[in-house]
Amino acid sequence: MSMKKSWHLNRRTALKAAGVSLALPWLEAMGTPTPSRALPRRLCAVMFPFGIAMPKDNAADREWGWFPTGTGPKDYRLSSVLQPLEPVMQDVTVFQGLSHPRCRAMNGHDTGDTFLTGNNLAPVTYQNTVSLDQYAAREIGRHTRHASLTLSTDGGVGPRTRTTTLSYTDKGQPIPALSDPKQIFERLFGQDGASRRDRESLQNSGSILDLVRDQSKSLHRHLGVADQRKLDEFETSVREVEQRVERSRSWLDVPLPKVDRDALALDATIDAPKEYLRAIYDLQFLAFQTDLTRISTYQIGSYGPSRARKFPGVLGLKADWHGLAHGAGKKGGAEKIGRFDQFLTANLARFINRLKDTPEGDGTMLDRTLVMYGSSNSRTHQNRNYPLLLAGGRQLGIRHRQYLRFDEKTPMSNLFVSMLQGLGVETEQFVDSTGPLAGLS
Amino acid sequence: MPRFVSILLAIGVSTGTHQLAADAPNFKKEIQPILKALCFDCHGPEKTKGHLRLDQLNPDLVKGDTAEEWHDVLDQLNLGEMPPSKAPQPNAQQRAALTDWIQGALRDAAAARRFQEGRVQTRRLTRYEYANTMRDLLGVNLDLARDLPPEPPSAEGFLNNGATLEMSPTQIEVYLKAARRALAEAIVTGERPKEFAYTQTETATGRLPNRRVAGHEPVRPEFILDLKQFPRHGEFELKITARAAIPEGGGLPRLRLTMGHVPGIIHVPRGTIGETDVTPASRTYSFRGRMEDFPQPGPIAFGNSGFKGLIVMMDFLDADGNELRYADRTYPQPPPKPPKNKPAPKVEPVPFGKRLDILIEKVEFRSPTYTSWPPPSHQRLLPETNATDELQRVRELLPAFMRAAYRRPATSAEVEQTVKLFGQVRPRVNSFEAALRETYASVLVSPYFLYRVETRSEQPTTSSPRLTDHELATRLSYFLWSTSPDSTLAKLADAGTLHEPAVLRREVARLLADPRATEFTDRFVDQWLDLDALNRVAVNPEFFPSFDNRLKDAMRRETQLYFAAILRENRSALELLRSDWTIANRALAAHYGLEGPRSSAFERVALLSRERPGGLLGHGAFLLANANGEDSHPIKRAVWILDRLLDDPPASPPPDVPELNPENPDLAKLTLKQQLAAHRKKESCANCHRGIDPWGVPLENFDAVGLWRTEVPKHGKRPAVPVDASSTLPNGRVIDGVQELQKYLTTERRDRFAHALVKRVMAYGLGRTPDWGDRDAVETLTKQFIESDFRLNALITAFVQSDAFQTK
Repeated sequence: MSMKKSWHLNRRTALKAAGVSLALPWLEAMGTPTPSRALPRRLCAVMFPFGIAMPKDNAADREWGWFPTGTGPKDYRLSSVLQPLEPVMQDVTVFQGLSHPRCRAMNGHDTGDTFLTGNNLAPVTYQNTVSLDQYAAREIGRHTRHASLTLSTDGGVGPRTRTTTLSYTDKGQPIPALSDPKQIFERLFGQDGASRRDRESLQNSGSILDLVRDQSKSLHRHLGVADQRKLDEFETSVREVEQRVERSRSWLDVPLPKVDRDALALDATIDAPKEYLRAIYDLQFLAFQTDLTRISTYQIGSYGPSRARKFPGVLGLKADWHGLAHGAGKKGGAEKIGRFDQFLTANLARFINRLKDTPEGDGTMLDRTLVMYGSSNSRTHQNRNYPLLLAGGRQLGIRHRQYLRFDEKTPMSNLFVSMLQGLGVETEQFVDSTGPLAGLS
Repeated sequence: MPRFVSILLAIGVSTGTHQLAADAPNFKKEIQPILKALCFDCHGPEKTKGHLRLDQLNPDLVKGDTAEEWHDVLDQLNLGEMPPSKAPQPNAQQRAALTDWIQGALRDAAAARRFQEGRVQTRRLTRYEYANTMRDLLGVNLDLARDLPPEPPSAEGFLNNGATLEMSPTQIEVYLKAARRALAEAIVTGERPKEFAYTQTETATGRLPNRRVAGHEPVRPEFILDLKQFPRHGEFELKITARAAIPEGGGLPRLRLTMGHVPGIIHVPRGTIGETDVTPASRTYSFRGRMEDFPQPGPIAFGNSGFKGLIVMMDFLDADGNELRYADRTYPQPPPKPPKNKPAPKVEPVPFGKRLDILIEKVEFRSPTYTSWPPPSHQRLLPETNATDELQRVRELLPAFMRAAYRRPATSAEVEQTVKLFGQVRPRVNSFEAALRETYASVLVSPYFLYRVETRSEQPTTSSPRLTDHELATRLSYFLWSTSPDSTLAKLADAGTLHEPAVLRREVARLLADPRATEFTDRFVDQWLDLDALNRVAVNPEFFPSFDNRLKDAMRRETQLYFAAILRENRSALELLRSDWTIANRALAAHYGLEGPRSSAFERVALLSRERPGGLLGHGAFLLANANGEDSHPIKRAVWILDRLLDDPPASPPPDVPELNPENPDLAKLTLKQQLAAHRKKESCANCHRGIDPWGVPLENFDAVGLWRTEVPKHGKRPAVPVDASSTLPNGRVIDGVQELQKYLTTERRDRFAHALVKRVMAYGLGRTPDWGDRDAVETLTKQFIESDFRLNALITAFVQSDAFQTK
């Protein structure tokens, strides 16, 4: 029998493969083709469904509730669920009492759609409106290769009222999310625009899209009203891609940043939530670090059918996330969902830490990045008092290490206004806001 | 009385729990008095709290614009917020009358609005339609839909609904990229690429991760093939010659192939090539795939890894899919060093033939796999012409390509427009072929290709305009094959004879007899019955330690193949509700406790026991997907039956659904059925749940993985209790257990089931939700379907012949 010793590895490469170390220097030379030399301001919004446990303050299992105890703003103690954030609390504010007033009367499972839009869905058509990230991307997205990055565990858009994306265009159309780490990596780092062939191909794309748009215009006249509306979607999409092609052409002479794909767990699938969530956060971090985009959204699971419903089961908890959330009020239920929520927090904390560990200008990346995290349910099905927190942005005028409590009169969109102002996007109002959020700046 | 209602009554279709508008209570006589008694004091002429006057709120939701207000009223009622607790409360009957009326009126308003705004006729191709169409058009088999976002399902669960199918910039980018990728394969330039070929009769060995680390499963292949050098791109073929040793009466063992590389000792990124049963007689098994679909090492060697190639790994499985692992086996993995001072235990190797085993005799690999150069796709897309200059040649090539892509002849203006594009592109690229690829790519991102276009007729007509023969061919082909019309259909459409009833009948028969009709049976059944829900339920291993998740795929297959057999063998569709047979492979049969199948192939199995009823209600796909992974879930099962089988979906739950009070210490002691009963006692929950729960309770004999039980196992404080599967339907009918439910459905509800199935087939075939304009068609087809003794074949034929199918 032929014995071939074909593949031997040493320990160092093994560690590298596990994604242990990866520190990219900030590449000044990469920059943007725009003349602006100002340091970037960034936004990342993360949502998870079904809410959290809310045991009473005197309950024995209070530590597995999501919200801190105490009266705030400086008097607070983190529960076990948020404990992973303790080391970075100087960069975190936890909120209590915020929600979107217009969404309170909606079905308890419908509010994932409106987490970043703040509007009630129109009856029958479920028409939505622009989301926070896309609102910000109009301004901020102009500076980067990708205006924004939309991610979710399930990908695509999903069914209305149970969508699998947080991002909505100006017209309220859901933006399909990417879910597979490999696919996301390819989208970000896959195409290097420097070669002659890419130049040709972009030119050709321009001509092709031109032709297709002409065809679409002439087809328009031959269609009924409902069909015309469908074709409008097509035309708008083609126009948007034409603009993207234009933008790519302006990026042609800017080399893509090089990253080591082996340092990322790109093969992680949704069946291994730990590795998967880590890979997704890592990709967002890399996208920010290399300034390929400054805006990202990330929806973990969905209020409807989602493969992420199985996450808790894989971690050795009760199998179904939704069931776990429903059981939060039962005996021992708070701990069960609390442990899972703690796992989600730990993943977030790791992401925040990576931003904080990366110097930028005279501070860190975190100082100029707003990370909003939370759910649009408190108890499951309750569209009030969202569990919410904001991390980062000290150099954007955000005050932290506090627990801010609000009554129901304060709309969550006030937080959006504060965030947009911090990001330098001039905003007086977002949907139903009444001003910036008190106590945050 | 409107005509559709009379037809409906004539054939005795029961209308389920909600009522049609015409049957609905008279608003003035029955609803307004209740509102007057309970609401007008605060929402009437005297006081108008919340700016709401119910005495003036227009009850005609179809013509008026009060749907939103009525929706609020419904929510307030359901939540128990209104009337306020101090005020007189509606009794159960009044409450039900109000909520039923508002729900019915809202549904009618939604349907009417959809109809008024016009139907969406122009449907984008779904992901799978797109992939099939590209494959058939270009002659290359690539996974082209991979990067397209998943489709949002319509209200009835269909993925091909024109109104829900959307377009986004991301998709346009993917379409263009996919077109270029496919055309680069289909139209080639240059010399025939070098072929890589390897043959091995012995396994290679090396160091592979053999423990579970950081979430990565260990790899312990039985046989390894080294691919030291390999093409990064293109099709490969793997031929495995092997035979099996099987103890008396055992099932066939299986061979599983994966391919990947070895970047470190932590994990081996790999993709599955395939699996096959292995027979005792030596045979050669062939597998195909594409190199670029498998994880490959980076172009630069990783770390100091000596091996930069790929490896193909083979695992042996028993018939149930468990890995065969023998202690005496010399795996390609070097054996672990024995602990010090302890001699390694001596294990005598067992010779082949003494136990379940596989012997690999030879493994052959080659890539790429061209049989000719240029490949057939190239010859098809770029046939020789007599043209002397390039523009002339493009002018000759384009009409045929555009005819196939647009599913109709292209106009000369369209051809010229595309020739012009070629003219723009040609100077930028260095070959005719490259320019032609870009030109063809433009056709493949055209709205005429990406959408199934049905144009409005130029002259306004009183009746719905008829489809052209080309549009008809397209509808038919996507309905039954999920792809564009083949050359026979195309010729009949060109000749303008397809719509002739005899021709059409013959074509439907031909399409259904073709293997491609599995596209219809698989897709329709998947979407109609929401089989994807199987993947959304995690079976809790604490409750079902021996449940193997691969059974979910087998369950899905069972239901797909069961439906296909009923269609193919021209059996009654009532067998979907009740029969004495099913279709299973060995693993699924073993799960169900049935005997017969020896391999992974699916075969027909007779059901003789009460514990395994035939029909969808006994299928694991239904029972498991509509449970919660731990216990049965009567509500989910009930909603599935009402929605999918009876087309009577319950309204979605109101906002802020209050939970059962978890403080109640008694609750934990109750079985789920008893908890549901407690739930129904709450007035706000009762409205809906008394119409839902009773449908799921008769299935209580099936646990969360679809197995028969007579006892609900102990849980927490609640002791084990005998299953109580008796229930009282909303109409007072007592049903005890699944057999009685099946009997009830196939006798007293058979017409309602027929009605539901007709509507779902129509929704799938038309790519839209049947609306007000389809009422007559639904009832006529239902009647015909019942008269045909529930033959699916007859239903499909009649549907294709109907005006609903042939008009816009």
